[in-house]
Amino acid sequence: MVRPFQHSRFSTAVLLLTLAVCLRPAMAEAPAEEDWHAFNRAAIHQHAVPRYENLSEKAGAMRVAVQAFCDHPGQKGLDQARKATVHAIMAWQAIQHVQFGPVTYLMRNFGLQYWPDKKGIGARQLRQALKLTDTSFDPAYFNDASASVKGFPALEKLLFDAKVLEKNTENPAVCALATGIADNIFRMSSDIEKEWTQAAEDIEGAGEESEEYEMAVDASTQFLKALVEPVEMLRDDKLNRVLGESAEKTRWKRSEFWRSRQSLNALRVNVQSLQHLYSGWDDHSVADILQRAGGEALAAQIEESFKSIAISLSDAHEPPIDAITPEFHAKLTAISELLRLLQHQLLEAMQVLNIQLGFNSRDGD
Amino acid sequence: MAINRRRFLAALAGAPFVLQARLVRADASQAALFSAVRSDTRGWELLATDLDGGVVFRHPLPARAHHVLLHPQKPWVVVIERRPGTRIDVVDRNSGRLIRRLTCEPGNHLFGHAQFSADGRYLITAEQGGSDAHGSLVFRDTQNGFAVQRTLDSGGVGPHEFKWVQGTRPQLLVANGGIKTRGREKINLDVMRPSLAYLDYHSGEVQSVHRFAAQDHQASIRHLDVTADGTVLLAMQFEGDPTQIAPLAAVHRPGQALQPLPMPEEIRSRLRQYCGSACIDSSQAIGAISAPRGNRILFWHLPDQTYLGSVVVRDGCGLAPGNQPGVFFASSGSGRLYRLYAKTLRKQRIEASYTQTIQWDNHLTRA
Repeated sequence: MVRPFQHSRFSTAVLLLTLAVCLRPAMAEAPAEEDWHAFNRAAIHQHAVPRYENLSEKAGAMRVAVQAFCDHPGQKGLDQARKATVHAIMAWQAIQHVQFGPVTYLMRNFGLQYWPDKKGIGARQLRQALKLTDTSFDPAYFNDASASVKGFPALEKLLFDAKVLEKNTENPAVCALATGIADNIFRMSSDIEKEWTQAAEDIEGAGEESEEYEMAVDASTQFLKALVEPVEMLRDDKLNRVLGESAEKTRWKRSEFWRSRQSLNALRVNVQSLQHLYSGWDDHSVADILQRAGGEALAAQIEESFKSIAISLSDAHEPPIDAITPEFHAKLTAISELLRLLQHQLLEAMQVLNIQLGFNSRDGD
Repeated sequence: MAINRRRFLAALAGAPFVLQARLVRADASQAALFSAVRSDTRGWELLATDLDGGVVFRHPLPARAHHVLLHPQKPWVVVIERRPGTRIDVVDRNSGRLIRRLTCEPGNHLFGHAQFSADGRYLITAEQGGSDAHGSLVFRDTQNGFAVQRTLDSGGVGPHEFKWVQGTRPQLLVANGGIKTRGREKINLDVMRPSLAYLDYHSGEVQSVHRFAAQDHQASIRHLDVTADGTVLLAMQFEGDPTQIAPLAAVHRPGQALQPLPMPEEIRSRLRQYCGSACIDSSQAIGAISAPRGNRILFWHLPDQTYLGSVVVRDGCGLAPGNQPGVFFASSGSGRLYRLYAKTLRKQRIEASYTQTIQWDNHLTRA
């Protein structure tokens, strides 16, 4: 039976599909391997490597300052040790989002910062370490120690907790452990920095002959995971887990660096760092590639989201521990919502860029 | 949402009138590899390919599936939904058409794995009943409309993969992951006690239960493979402290304790406490375990439990044995298929038309 109407509709559909392909000059190309090679080079040399160099430098200064304080205890030395430690913490926060490559070798990522520590493992381990009579906290000690006493959270507690500091004069373990941790952080940081020479070669050598990266897009995917996945962590662990449903239910002691009053600063640095990975350079940034892949509007929306979060954070101040106001709670809840929007936008961008952040690795069984 | 040309063309290619010509490359007799997949354009599917990755057929699925198994005699391909799914598709291996869609009894859900009895009569699935403490192995009679004929206690909480152990009396070997769930949420991680349970097939009796030491009680035993002589290769997912040195790969031999397999710390520490599949090669001497979060497949010589090394496979999880000793097929979440050579630690990518338009799901089944 002849069905002219259906045949006509079929023909029209084919024609429209054909026209859609041919007559859409603005339809952009999916990024090519060359684009991802260029992105990788920029992400290595303008983002990852300089930030690891900065971490290593700041950790070195921290080590010197903590040692100086322990050699000559006093308020001035303590202030300088604290200041240098905060600088090193912020240098780490500026590259905390990268969770691949040398930072993951031997679990240095956890060694630098075991957090969130939901079971209080760090506090227990620290108490035990401070009871040790052998106070030689050398590299051998840290090789076998719990990750929770290897890095910044433990050092922050030693330098900023008044009760711990009170014991410093009578317990040599306090300063010995502080200098040991500062040294351990410096060694991990400088090892990461050195090992990025090889990591960069692996990424820049992406191709069929490479064992690590068969395609440049494989390495780009790692950087893009470092852009997208931390947003959820910022929202869930750094904000929502602290905030609760109201000002009364906010537990600021769950925040990342409440002792040194740096939790919000850390969040600011995190957002700035993600924004830099997104659009910190002109040619072959994520934003640039996204625009050229047909995502101009989305690229602009993401940039706008970063700006909105940065503006909201710029006038948020570290609160008193036990006096969280409803206004403060509302402000941070609004920032959490902005992060949620940003996360959705970034996930949408990955679809436009044809990037699979992970399937079995992200949601396996 | 913006759309790029590749995506648009992929969508166009998904139109029915293009499908047959573009994607069906091999005839049904060549179907050799089977897996659940996610397609960029068409959602969840069962994919059957030949050994060169040529698509034999694709069958649409209502939800994400996990394990695919083949009937020992009939041309049936069976696809099991993952936790907490309830549907099982029985698909004709020659045509790719749905023969029957089974659904769990009310209140039950699947854990993603199944087996056929040796004579092919019973389809056995790992399931959870609503209020049961332990999981179950549910037997459906293929000769009686897939009616549930028998239910066995799995010997532990959260049964996942299970396999046959042939001997004087056949046994079912069950990886009880130990995790209680509500939907996809895990609700007992602090008190979980995973186990490897040997069940007598005829009596259903739990004959032995094996566990790791108490400090490793969060090492969820999830996937396994068994050699003809009863050596069991186990792949674990550790649910505790991300820095704990936990057993991620192990072997078990009858009458012995579970033996964690050695691996260099620099490799172990990159696996993110997660292994996805276990597979034994055609010679029965080499075992492979995938670690998709660590982007690696690791190999061991099983008789002496020595570590052979690893190859990088990004988001690689599915494993199936090749024809030669030490050769494996591996599939990845980035849409790639490989032949892996454990003895030389080489990989060979199998070029396929669908690369980067699908994601291979956790397991790969070889005909």
